[in-house]
Amino acid sequence: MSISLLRIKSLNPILQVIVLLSWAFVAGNAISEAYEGPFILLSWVNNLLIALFFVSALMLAQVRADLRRSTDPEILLRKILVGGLFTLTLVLLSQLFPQGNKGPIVYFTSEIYPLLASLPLIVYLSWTFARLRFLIDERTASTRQMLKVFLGMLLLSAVAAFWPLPPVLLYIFYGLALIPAFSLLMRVRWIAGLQPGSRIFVMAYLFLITWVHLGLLLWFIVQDSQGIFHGQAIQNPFPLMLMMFNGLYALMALLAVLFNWPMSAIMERRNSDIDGFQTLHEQISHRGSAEDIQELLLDLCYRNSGAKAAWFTRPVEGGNQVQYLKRGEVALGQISRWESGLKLQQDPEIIDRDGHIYVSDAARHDAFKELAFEYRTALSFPMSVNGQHEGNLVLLQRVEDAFDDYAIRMLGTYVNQARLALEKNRLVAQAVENERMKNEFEIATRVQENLLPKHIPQPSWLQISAAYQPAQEVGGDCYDFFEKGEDLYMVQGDVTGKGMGAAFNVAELKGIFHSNLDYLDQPDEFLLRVNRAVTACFDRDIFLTLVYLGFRPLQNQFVYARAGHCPVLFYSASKGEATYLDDKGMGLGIVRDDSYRKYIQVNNHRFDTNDIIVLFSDGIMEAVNPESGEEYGQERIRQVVARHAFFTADEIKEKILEDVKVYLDGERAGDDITLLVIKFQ
Amino acid sequence: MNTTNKPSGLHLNSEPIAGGVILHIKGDLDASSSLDFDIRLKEMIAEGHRNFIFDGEELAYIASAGLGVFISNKDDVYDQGGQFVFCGLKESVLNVFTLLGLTDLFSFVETREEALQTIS
Repeated sequence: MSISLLRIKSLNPILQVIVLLSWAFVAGNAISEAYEGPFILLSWVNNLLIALFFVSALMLAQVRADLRRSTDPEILLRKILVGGLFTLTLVLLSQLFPQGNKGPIVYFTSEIYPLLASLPLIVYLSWTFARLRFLIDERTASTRQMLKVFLGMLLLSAVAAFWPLPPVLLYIFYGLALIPAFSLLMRVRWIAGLQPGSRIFVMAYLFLITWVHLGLLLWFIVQDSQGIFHGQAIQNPFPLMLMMFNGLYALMALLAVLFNWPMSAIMERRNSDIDGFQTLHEQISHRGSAEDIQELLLDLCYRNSGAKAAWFTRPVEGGNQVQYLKRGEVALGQISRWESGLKLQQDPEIIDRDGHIYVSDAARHDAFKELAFEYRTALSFPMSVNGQHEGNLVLLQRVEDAFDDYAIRMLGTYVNQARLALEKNRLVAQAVENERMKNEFEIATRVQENLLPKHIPQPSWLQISAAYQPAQEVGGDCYDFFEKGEDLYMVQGDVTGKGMGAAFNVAELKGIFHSNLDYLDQPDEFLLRVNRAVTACFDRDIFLTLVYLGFRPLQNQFVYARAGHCPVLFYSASKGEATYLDDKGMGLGIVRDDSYRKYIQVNNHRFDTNDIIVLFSDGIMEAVNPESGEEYGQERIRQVVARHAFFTADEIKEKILEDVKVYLDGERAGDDITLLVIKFQ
Repeated sequence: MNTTNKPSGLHLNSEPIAGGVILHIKGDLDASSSLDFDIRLKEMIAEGHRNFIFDGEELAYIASAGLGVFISNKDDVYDQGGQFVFCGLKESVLNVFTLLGLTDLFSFVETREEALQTIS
């Protein structure tokens, strides 16, 4: 027979009707029989109705219980107790009626009433069993199997009311039922999950439920001698089995709670251990700060280990000092003595392979001689994250050898968990910092690129090719062109500083250039004014280097001044050689007054068709070959230009960049690379 | 002799002389070590030293931040009649000073003896 049939919800109303009708017919028949009424049921019909009543009551209880699953033992047992007291009161009401041997009233009291009271009795018993099932069910296959078997036997016993069994078979049946019954009586695992506060109530309920069932059983046995259902009580296996089982189960659970009282303390400790884990875990996912995690670890260990004193020492950044987080009663002076004593411990017996130190009796160790021995046991967990010392957790107990293996293992797991949390913290912080740096770099690069001229002038007599490659760290390179009538001016500069700061300096410098455009045709005046502005605008440790070039195509002449920048390379097509122009000139922002004028050297130079001028920043000169460790210097660029003088400006620029790239051999340049190639045509 | 070891790989030895100090600079004057160097130099200026001889025989490299240290402290020293004298600089390092035009501002000599003479 399929048990799942019992759980069909739609059966609920039908079953209610069947229970009531079958009971009504049985009771009516009994009354009619007693008072010699007009109409008496055949004996087998009566038995069939009794069986129907039992079966439907059992099934109804199972169906209804499934509809209202409640698993809190305290509430469940309270309901069972209340129902039990109510039922017991109902059935005992018969005792209030006059007792005796004669008369219709006495007959009612002794014969009819018990039969009427059997409705609440059978319903209550079935209902209680269906409720107890939730406690018994340990959610294992074997429990469920046993429940099915026992339920099947209950159904059999209910059906058996139709055909009262001969005594031999009846006893065999009882014997067989004992097997699943006893198996189920042992299923009291739920008592382990009881809340400490509800344990005492549960015990009281169980105690009373046991008595209620005993009372019902006694009443049933007494009444049965006068005949409810089938003569003697023993011949009614269905109510009997339910009463016995329910009562015994309450008794077993009561005993289990009683004898497991000491165990429950351990269970509570484990539960709080698990809670501790959860809290630590939450901290990890909520990214508590390192301090939060350390504090949490200390609290957890202090609370869950039952230690009388505990502390966490952590090194203060950038110093030899340590910070203390303290719990319990221990003086700071004592802490430092314990710490230094623990640090001295090299005894392999007390240093576990997991790295914790367990001093089972400080009085027996020399290292702790100076202590007052207020505390005897010490347990220490030095913590390091990624090889860096993060702190030390110490727990103290007053009695010696106070931590058992379980406690040490448990605390060790906490420490490991916290270590993971700290490690994760650090990784996240690193990732955030990296992201920030990357963003800053990207912004700086963009700012700097925006500062470069969008449009390079291309007059008919001149080719200009420019390249700008930012380094990993943005520098302060810049260049700009200004056209004034036929004349063309250009500056190439480099402000000291790296990163965002350098980019802002370049922006400021561009402003300085533009505010002095009127003086472009007077190089010394232009530079002097720029120097003034730089002195006024920038900090004293910031300076800039610059090359100024002014082309006068009508005179085939160019004017130039070098203010501390890389020298100007000039290729003469007529001579077929490249040379650095010999000159002097000081960087801007160094001499901070107008005496700077005397450090400015303005030079004039003639140019002809196919002559070449190359300007570059120190990113090229200081490019380092990873193998030799030498810098690229000035000579190599000179040779490249001399070799490729017949190419266009663009091509020469590419040749130089390629040569520098080969020289760097996969490394990145340490500074920005700016390159300007000018070819006259 | 008073030795300062900086974690950035720059070693400074200072040696007091009459009216000033000889600073032996060893290692790299890059962006990070320049910060330490600047602090040290400012301390010495605050202590009243006026003439500084920088012995750069073992100065391997100087970045613009390193030059910035000399440039930014220059006025405090020169305004009070002091001076910066560099001796024994490697060619590559000297070249950096030369390009920037600092050879017109500070004194550059080959040996300590010449440097001492320059001061007196």
